[in-house]
Amino acid sequence: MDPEGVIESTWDEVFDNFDDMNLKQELLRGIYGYGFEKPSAIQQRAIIPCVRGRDVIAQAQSGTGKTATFSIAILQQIDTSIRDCQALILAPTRELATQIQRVVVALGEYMKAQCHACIGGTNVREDVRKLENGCHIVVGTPGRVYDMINRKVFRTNSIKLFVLDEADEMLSRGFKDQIQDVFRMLPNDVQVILLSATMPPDVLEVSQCFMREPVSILVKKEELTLEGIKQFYVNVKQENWKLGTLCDLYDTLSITQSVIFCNTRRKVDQLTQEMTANNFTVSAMHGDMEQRDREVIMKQFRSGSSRVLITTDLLARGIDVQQVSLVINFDLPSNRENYIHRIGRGGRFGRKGVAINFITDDDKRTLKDIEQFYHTTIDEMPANIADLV
Amino acid sequence: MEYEVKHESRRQSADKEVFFDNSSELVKNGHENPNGKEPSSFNIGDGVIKKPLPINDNHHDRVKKKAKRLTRLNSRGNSVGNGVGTNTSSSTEENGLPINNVNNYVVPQRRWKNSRRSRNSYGRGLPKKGGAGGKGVWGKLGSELLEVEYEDHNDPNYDSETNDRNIELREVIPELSPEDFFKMSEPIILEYYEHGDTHEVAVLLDEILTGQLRPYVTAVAIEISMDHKDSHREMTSVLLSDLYGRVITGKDFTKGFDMLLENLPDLQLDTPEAPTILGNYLARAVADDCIPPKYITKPEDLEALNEYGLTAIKRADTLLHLKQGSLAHLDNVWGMGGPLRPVKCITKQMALLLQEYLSSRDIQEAHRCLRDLEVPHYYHELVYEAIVMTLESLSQNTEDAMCELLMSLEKTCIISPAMFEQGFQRLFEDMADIVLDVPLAYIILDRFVEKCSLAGFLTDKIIKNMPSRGRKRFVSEGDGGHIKPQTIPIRD
Repeated sequence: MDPEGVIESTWDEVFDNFDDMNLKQELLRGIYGYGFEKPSAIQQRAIIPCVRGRDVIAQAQSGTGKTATFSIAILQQIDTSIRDCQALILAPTRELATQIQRVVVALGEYMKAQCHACIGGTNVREDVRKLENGCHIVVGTPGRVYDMINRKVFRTNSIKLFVLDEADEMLSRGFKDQIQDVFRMLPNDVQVILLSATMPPDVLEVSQCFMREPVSILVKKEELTLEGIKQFYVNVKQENWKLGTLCDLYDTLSITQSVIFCNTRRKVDQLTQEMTANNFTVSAMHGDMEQRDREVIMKQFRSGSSRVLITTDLLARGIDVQQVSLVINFDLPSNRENYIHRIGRGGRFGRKGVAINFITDDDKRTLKDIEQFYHTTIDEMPANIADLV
Repeated sequence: MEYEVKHESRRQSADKEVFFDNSSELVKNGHENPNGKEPSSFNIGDGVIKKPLPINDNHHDRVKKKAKRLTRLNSRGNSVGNGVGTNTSSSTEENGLPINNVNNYVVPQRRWKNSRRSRNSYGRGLPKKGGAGGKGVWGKLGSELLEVEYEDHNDPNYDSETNDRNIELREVIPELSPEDFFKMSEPIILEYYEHGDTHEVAVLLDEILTGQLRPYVTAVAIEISMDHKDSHREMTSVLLSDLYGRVITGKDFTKGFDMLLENLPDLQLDTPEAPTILGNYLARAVADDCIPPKYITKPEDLEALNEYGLTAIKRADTLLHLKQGSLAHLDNVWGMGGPLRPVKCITKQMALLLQEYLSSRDIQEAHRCLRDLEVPHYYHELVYEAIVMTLESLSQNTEDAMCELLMSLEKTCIISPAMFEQGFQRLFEDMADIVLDVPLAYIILDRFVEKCSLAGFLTDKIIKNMPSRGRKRFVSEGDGGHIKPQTIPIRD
C-alpha cells in the first residue's frame, strides 16, 4: 500500500506545500504560525477546489487535518472589511464547534477574522451580542444555529460558504431536519463543503440534495499503524516498582527522545516530581496547563532541548514528534483505542520505533486483550533494549 | 537617643515661649529690651526648662560641658565607689566623708575600668548604649525594625483600607459560580473518559466542590456526556453511581436531574436525542439505587415540566416497566460496545451482528450495530469473522450476502483498506487450521475472493497473498498416474 493510502479523487491537482496554493499573505503567516509545515493528504487535494468555489465532498479519518482544510478555504475567501457573516460551519457537538472556532481564530489571527462559536446555555446573551455585532464566521450545531436564525439575531443573507463538518456524525445524532432547515435559509448560490469520516447513504443523500457537481475526494488511509514498531512489556509486579524500573531505563530513554504516558494528570505530576527528586531531567505536559505553557513545552521537546516528556492520553493525539522513537506506557491505557494513539505512527512518518509497556500482575489480561485487539504481538523486553532504540 | 530628642524639643518649645513672652513684653514695654538674648535668663526662674542648668551663663555650650563634668565626677563616685545613691546629695556626702571609704580606695584611673560610661567629653556621662545611638547616626543594626511606624494620613500613598486598624483579615474561600464549576469540572470529566478511574474523579472533585454546588455534579457530568458517545454515557452512569454517597447525596442527585429536566429545551438544540438520553440516565439511576423510583413513577410537579422533560420521564418509565425479572437489563441501557469492554465481549457482539445480518439482510442495521461498537481498530475481526462464516456455511447465498456487506462497508469508508488487509491476512494464516474442519475451504475462499475482487474492494496485496493450495488433486503422484475410482470400493 502506498504511504498516502488509497485515494479516490475527481480532482487531479495536488499541492505539496502551502506556498504554492496562492493564499493570502496574512493567512500563510497564520498557517505557519499555527505549526503546519506540510499539507496533509486531504489538505493537498481539497483546499484548492474549495478556494476556487467548487462544492466539495471530502472524506478522511478524524485527525487528518480536515478542520484546517475548510478553515483555510474559508479564510481565503472571506472579506474581513465587511462586517457580515460570510461563512457558516455546522458541527455535531458544541465541543467540536469550540475546537473549530479555536482553529479558525488561530489561522486567521493576522487577518483579523472574527469567528464565533454558538454555545447557548448560559451564554445565549453573549451569542446574541456577538452575532448582532457581526462576525465573519459562525460555528455551531445545526439546532443551535437554527435557533439563532429563528430569534432573528443571525442574518444569513451574506453567507457565501456553508460547511458541514463530520456530516456522518451529525446525521447519526439526529440533525437531519435541522440541517435542511438551516440550508433553506441560505442564499441560493452558496458554496457547500461537506466533510465526513464515513460515507453512509444518508450522507450521500444530503450531498445530492445540497450540492452541485461536487468534487469528491476520498482518502481511505489508515491514519495510524503499529507496523514496524517493536512492542515489549516489562512485568514490574507491583505498582510502586514502576518508578525504579523507569529510573533504570532512563539512560536508554534519553539516547533519543521518548514519551512516557500515564493515565491521569495527578500521576503525571507525581511521576515528574519523583523523577526530578531522583535527579532525572524530565518535562511534563497535561490538560490542566495553560495552552501557552503547553506550547512552550512542546517547542522545547520538538527542538530537542528536553528529551523525556511525561504526558496523558488527552494530549497523545497532538504529539507528532518525528524524533520520538521510544514510547513508554507507564500505565496501560484503560481505553484500548488509546493504545494506537499513544504508540502508533502516521504513514507519513512511518519509521521504526519501540514501545515498552509496564505491567503489573493485574494487567496481564488487559495486555492480552490489547494483543488480540490489534492482532499484534508484545514480547517480554530483552536485556539489550538499548541496542534496539 | 530618645531622651535627647525630647530634650531638644523641650528646649525649642521653651525658646518659643520665650519668644512669645518677649514679644508680649515688647508690646507692653516698648524699647525696654533691645537685646534678644536677655529673656532666656529671665525664664530660668519660671521653671519652664526642666533640666537644671547651672550657674547663669550666656554661652550654652560651655555650660553643658561643665554640667557633664560634674555629673561624671558624681557618677564615678557612685558606681565605683559605694554604688549607692544617685543624686548629688550622696556625692557631696561622699566627698565630705572620704575616710569611710578608705578600704575601697581605688586609684582614679583604675576606677574607669569596666565602667560603661562614656569617656569622651561629650554626652552626659550616662552608660553607653552599645555605641550605635546618637544623633546623626544610623543606629544599631536592625534597630529600624523596632521603630514605631509613622503613618501619615495625608500621604498620597496612604491606603486607608489596609492601614485602618478596624479591619480584621480572614481567609475566605471564594464561592464558585455554577459556570466556573462547569469550566473546572469539564477537564476532569474528559480525562475520566480516558482513564476510567472513578476514585480519581472523586478526589479531584473534592478539591473544588463547595456545599451548594453538589447538585451540579450530576447535571454537569450528564450534560458533557451528551456531546459524546454511548460508551462515555455508560462511563458517566458508572461514575455517578460511584460518586453517590461519596461526593453527592441522593438529594443532590434528584436536584441535578431537576435542573437537567428544566434545561432540556436548550439541551435538545445541540443534541436532538437529549430527552431519550436523559430518560436512559433516569432509568439507570433508579436501577443503581441512586434516585427513588418515585421520582419517575410519581413526579411531584408533572404539570410544571416542559414537553421534552415529559418525554424523558416517559422514556424512563417505559424502561423501568420493561421489567424482565429485574432491572439488570438497564445495565446495558447504553449498549454492549465501547473500547472498555473485554475483547471477548466485542468479538461475540460482532458474531451476533453478522448472524443477524445473514437472516435479515439489513445492511443499514449491520452498519449501525458495527458503529455502535466504537472499535474502529478492531474491524479486522469483523472481516475475519465474516469470511470464516462464509467458509463454514457452504452456501452461495451467504457468499453473496457477505460480499455485499463487506463491499458496502468499504464503500462507505467504515472499514479502512488496512483493516481489510489485516482481516484477510489473518484468515490466510489460519487456513491450514480451518481446512481441517471444512475440507472445501480453499475452493470456497477462491470463489469468494474472486467475487470480492470483482466487486472491487480488495487491494492488490490481498489478492497477491492468497494461498494457492486450493486445487484439488485428482491424480495422486504415488498412484502411478492412474485415475482414482469415482466410487469408493466396497469392502469385502
